[in-house]
Amino acid sequence: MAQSQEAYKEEFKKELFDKLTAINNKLNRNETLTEEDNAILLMSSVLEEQG
Amino acid sequence: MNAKVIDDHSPETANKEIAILQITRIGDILQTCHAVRLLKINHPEYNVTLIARKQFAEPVKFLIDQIFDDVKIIDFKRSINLADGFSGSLKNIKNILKDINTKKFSASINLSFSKSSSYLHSMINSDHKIGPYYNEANHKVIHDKWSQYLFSSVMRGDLNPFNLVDLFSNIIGVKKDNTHLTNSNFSKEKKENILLHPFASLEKKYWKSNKWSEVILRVLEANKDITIHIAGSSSDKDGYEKIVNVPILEKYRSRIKPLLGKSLSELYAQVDDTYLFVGHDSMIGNLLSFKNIKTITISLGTVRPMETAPYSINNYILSPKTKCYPCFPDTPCEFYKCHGDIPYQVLQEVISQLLISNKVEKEQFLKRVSPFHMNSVNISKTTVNKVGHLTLSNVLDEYQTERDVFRDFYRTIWSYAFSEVDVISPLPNISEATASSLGKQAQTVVHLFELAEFGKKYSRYILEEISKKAPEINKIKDYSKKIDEVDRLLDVLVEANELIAPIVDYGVVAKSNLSGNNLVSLTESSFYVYQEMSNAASIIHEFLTKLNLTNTNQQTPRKSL
Repeated sequence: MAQSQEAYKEEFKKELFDKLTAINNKLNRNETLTEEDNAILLMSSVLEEQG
Repeated sequence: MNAKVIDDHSPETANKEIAILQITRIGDILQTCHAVRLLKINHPEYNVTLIARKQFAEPVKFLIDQIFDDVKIIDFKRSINLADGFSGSLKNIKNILKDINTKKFSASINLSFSKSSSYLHSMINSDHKIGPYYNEANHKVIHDKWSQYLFSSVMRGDLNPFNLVDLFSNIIGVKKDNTHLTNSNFSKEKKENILLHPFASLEKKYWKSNKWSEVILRVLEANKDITIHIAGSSSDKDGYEKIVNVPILEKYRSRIKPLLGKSLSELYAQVDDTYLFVGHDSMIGNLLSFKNIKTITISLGTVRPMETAPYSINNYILSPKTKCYPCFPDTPCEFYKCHGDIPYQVLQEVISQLLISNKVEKEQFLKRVSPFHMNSVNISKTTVNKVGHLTLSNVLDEYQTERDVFRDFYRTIWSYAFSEVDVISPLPNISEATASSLGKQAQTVVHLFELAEFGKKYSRYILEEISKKAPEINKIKDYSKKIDEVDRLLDVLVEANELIAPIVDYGVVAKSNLSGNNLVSLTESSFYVYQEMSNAASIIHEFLTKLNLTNTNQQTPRKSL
């Protein structure tokens, strides 16, 4: 059970990092962010603040 | 037939939808409630929606519902979870935003300064955004000056002269002309009950239990009809036992009543005008200020009493004169000198006077408390100035410190610079020693003025170069380097004298939020920021001159280049 919890966590993290990398690339190409990008950034900042 | 047709939907009469974001803690929500209460007195026609987090909004929902027209409660913990996975969590976040954006807001105002609140703000559907948000290029933007000031000053030092409620009101744009707190006494003169909250969120902010036991003993001994109620959360039970279960309080135990684990609404309903509240800086003091319960706050550690004092008048604040006070949450401290600098005898005397006459009188105080106990503590009373700002006045009429004097200067400077409101302060009451050290500040202020003028000069050179038919990029680069140099020198100046830090800190935040989307408009904005800094320095110099604290032989600020 604990193992699957850990696996879920890793998967969540991976998806989040992939999306954040994509957003970063967009910003490097001077593209504007979409609402979905902002929602991901909001989610990331909430998780960051929760430690 | 010639009757004038009244258009009910004209922009002036149309109901405005305003969103207020406050996703930080309960104390901040309560202070936001005060600011919005003032707004609604001036503008009952505005529909105001609060956007707050579940864990902070729900305990005070009974109060929020009385003030706001609507509330959107966000539960981030439930929305972002492993069970829903990344895609499910993202969907939940989008649903939160969809719910908020069912309304079209005329303005959204972000009063919380966290990263997440700025992202949330950027996604709110509003015509005008006030306070921080992220733009499409993912840059944090703060357009309005009061929010820039709040961002640059609160929890930085102790030179901010404004209560947070006044700062929030200034950001929202509340006119205080019609919303002054009145000077009448709100609670009954004679008190029968004391509500004590001897706990706080950080160890730095509350006294050890033995000190509270002493206070309780002395108060109960001297006032036979008084009952003390001790409030706290369920987790404060051990702390309560430590205070109450001591031999010295054995025979008074029947007059000490626990109020632990009560919800804030229960506590709020229970207190009435026979109560006096005594506690460390906490949201309970702010909550009870809505009922105008008389309050004594003992400010310790990181607490900046000016910012967080309960927003009602004739309340009292005890704060230490300790040099390192107020500190920061991460400042290491083993000794807690500030705790020792407020003797329990001073608190006991303040309580005794308020129980009897609802006010603290200087003469009585000087008769009954030894000067030995008083020389390390400030006793302040909350008052209101002519423009409606909450201020702290020294009850014992002691000399003002350099910092007190500078805080008064800053109140006048910022109020005029950002709102064109004239704040008139009385001449400061200072000792010779303070006069002498204030005199030495004059030279620093001259340096600040000159650096700001250099900033203006090089901003102007850039503008002149750009306006030429064939602008030279190297010249523009050189002028930009000079501006960087000015900024570095400003930092050095602040290190040497932190009394001018609020001006430089404000300049840094304002410069990182320059308005404009091309080199010309950005440089123009930069020029105006230096202009504001230069004006602030000039005004301080003028104040010091009025107090005869500037040496006429030393260099005086030049009016302009």
